[in-house]
Amino acid sequence: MIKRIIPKIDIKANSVVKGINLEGLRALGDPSIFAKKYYDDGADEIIYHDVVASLYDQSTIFELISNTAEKIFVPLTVSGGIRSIDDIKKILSLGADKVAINSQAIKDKNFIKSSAQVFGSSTIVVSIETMKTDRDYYVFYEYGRINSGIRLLDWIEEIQSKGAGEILLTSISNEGTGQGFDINLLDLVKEKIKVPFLFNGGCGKAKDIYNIYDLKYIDGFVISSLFHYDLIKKVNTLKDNTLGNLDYLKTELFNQDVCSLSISNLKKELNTNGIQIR
Amino acid sequence: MNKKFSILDYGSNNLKSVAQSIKNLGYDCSITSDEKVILNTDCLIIPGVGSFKNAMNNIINSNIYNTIYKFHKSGRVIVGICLGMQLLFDMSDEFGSTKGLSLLRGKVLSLSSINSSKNPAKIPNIGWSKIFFNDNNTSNPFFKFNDEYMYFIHSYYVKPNAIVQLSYSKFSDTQFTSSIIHENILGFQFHPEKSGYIGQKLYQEICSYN
Repeated sequence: MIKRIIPKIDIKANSVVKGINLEGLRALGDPSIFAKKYYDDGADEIIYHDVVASLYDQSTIFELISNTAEKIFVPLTVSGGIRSIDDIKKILSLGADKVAINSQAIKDKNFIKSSAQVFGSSTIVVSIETMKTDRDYYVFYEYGRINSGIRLLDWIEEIQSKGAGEILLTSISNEGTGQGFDINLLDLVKEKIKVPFLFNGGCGKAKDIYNIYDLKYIDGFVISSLFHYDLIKKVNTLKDNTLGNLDYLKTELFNQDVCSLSISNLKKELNTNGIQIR
Repeated sequence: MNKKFSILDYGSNNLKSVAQSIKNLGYDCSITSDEKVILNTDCLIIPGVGSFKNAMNNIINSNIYNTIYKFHKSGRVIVGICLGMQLLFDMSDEFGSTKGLSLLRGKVLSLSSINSSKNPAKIPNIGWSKIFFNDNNTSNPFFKFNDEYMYFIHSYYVKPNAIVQLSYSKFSDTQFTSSIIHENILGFQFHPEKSGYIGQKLYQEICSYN
């Protein structure tokens, strides 16, 4: 199977947000504009992550999911705040294709199994946020805030035995940094993940992907900042967008040397370097 | 007169994008399980993701079973997508053995049965694969999609008895049937409604097939 390039759009209060190491979130603009642009530019799938739903019990992105599903014709995965079979049913009925589950899988050890039985494994992505503390990688939840105390490898084995259809693995320490993927993490999990494996956190340039030695273990690359910053630089309508934090974008962000690259340009570069993409 | 489409609502998901793809082409389209509505349309689309057994149970425990047969007998076009295509065959080996609708001869088998030990692929089979057409299909309106990437998400595949294969794709080192055509029946293992702009083009051909 060819490598998938999947933009992940983090959402808070109807705006795209992005931070570093899952912290210091900044508002960037209307999520549906981002989704449509990414679809047009060749995204293989799109992930919507409702950042606050798992903390404040909000379910504000229903309307957004519904509008998006009418405009984009690649798979849409929704995550954040999913607590019940009914939540999943609702999200899928609005037009999403998959759900990604993190906190609830940790809180209710039967949740993965019961949701896979109802909706089929291929609909159930398990999202894992991980970070190395002391000597081991541990599983975190509530958007990287709480250490579950579960060792990463134990968790990977458990969720696969319960019917996880895909694993979305985020390296908290690399997330948002643009410094490349966490290769130590990849080394640790590569032989253990038997279902499709989506890797997230740290992509800052095409090289970060095509220089990975163990590329064959990874099925998809989940990327946020790199694409968001490219889009923001191009979209003129940003002026009209009251959601975006323009001062931050203009004064702080673009004075720093942030990485930015479009999906189509990333794909071109991967293709040139022998990586099969769509 | 403008063609009318019905999308079979039997408790499965993945209905909305199918409906939207058809509406975007300017056709009338309703998501329904009502026999009167269905029999009043020109084309019945059976979508679906998930479990074969659950889907068949839903279909058997409602009047939908008879509606599908009536529609099929009338000679109008039936389109099965993913699980919706698999249901058209005789049986599936998911959870032992489950009977299907038997509108087409053949079986639904697990992808693990064709996974090679030398070059194993992951299951579920999720992502983009090319579809290839046999040479004798060059006059077919779908042939223009030869060598194009489509989006797949499945753990089972169909093995037809007769020659109904329209296209094939590859899993691990093995070829499997990725779409079928037989009289008034079309079937796709992949999801054209999730296959980007090329998938939307494929819907044009689906909608004008008769």
